[in-house]
Amino acid sequence: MNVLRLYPVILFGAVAVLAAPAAAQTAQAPVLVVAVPPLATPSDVETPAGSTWAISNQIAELIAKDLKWSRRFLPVNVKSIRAPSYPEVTAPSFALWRGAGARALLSGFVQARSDGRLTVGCYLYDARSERELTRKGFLIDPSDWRRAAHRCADAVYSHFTGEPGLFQTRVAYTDESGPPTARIKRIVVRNVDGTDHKYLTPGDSPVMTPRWAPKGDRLAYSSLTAGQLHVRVIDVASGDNRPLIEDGGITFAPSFAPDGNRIVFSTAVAGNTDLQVMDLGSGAVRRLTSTPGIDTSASFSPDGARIAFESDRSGSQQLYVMNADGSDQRRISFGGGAYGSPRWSPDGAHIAFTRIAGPVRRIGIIGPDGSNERILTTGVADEAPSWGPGGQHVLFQRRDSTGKTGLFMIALSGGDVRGMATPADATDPSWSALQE
Amino acid sequence: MVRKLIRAAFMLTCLGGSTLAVSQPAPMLNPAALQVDLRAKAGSDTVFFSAQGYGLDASAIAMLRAQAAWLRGNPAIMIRLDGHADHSDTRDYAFGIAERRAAGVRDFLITQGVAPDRMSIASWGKERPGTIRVGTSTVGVGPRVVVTVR
Repeated sequence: MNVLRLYPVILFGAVAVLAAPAAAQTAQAPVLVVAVPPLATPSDVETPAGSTWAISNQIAELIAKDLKWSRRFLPVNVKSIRAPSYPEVTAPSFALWRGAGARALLSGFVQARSDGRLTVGCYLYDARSERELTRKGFLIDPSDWRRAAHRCADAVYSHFTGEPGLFQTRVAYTDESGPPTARIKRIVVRNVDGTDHKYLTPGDSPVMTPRWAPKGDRLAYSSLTAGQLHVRVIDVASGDNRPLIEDGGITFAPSFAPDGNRIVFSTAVAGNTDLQVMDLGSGAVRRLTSTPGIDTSASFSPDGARIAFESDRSGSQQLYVMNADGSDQRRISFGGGAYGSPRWSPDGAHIAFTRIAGPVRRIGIIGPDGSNERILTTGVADEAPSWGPGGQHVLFQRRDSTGKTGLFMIALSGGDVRGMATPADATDPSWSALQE
Repeated sequence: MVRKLIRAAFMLTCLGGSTLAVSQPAPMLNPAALQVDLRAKAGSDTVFFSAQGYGLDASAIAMLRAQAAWLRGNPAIMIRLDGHADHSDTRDYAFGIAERRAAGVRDFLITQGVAPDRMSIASWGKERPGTIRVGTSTVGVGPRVVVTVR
């Protein structure tokens, strides 16, 4: 059907690169060229969020920005091409867009309704075969136009990549300010595009490593309240915030299981750090590791059956994989140097990690069986990888030569890292699954 | 003058809390003043480690012996052993190794006659880099354990 028609186009695009990751490091990653002209509006009507004509333009610009940011698409410059009329939304002048080099066309409309809301429609076409591939329609309040734009962009992204959408996701991280010896750290949550930025903790005690629950309703994190390092869980909507365990022990590095009902974390006692898992329903805690050494940074596989973690039981930090009950612990990293902070990808195919070679730290990926290790970044102080929803993007923290630390994203398909602007220094990113 | 007052305060500590409450103003016994005295008498309140290291070298052992002597001389004082890691450690590992350093210091202080129930342990990971003066400049130091009077 329609999907098959465009498939050859995709093969020249991002998917071909994913199948041959070695080539991606040397060649510029091919991308799918797409045209996103201004949406049409049948009549220009004023709304509290601007006129429908202005909203039409803003939606198209945001869709193009989203697609470009993903590094899997290249939006053509539409400024010099006349904007489609309303009838052209469903009957595009394909030759015009083919002439601009586009393989795909996203057109759409914004129409004001008598009840004050807007109807937004977007249509994805194969510019060569002139066939419609998919369409989306939304009924929104005018102020929600960004959401409609992200959903249109997600429709395009998912159609061509077969992955879940990226642009309605959220990012949690630690906001850092103040001098190094007295950092003020706060947990922040925001949309991936930077909007809806909220501080979840007040900054009165150091907080670290926020980790999303699978549904995006809660975060687990570590807090140093009054010098006592412990894991806490916060409800994002209500702000309800409580310790995971109230026994006064040293706990840190929490991570949710994919079912959202268990949290794996580290406990340090008498110089030995082990992994434990808590069942949130019953409160029962079970020890998973007991080997002398520091076992930490645990991360569940997407099916919940296995856990990746790091341990220095061999003398240096290395990556290990075990069953979720603690059995069958196996080391998977043997590349020399040290490895930390493993995170299992949502598609199960990779484990992202921080590679430590002397003072240099870089982000890499490795198969869960230890195969196909690959370093992705070229910074000197990159750490704390976190996967995007489809397992094709990694968000991480980077400290630059001036000492500033920020968030950066890299696509497995290749290309340069891309910064994610934050108002202050930012560390420990956690990227949520798609939020509907 | 200040030192005399601090010394007087210590003697009172040894005599017991009930006398103190009536005869001495509380600020004399505040943890900050005691911390200053520990630094003065033992030479420092801190022992340092190599990056990734957690074993006690000769200078750390000499320092801990001096700190243990001060602690034996001030038996009513409770302390917290604050473990720290290097900024180049990954964040989670930093918490683990900082705790391991503090636990090692605790074990040594026990061998020097400091009662286990006087000591608690905190791990600060790489959240609070310390500083030392080298000549005229101040440089950051990570891997260390600080004996903190509570």
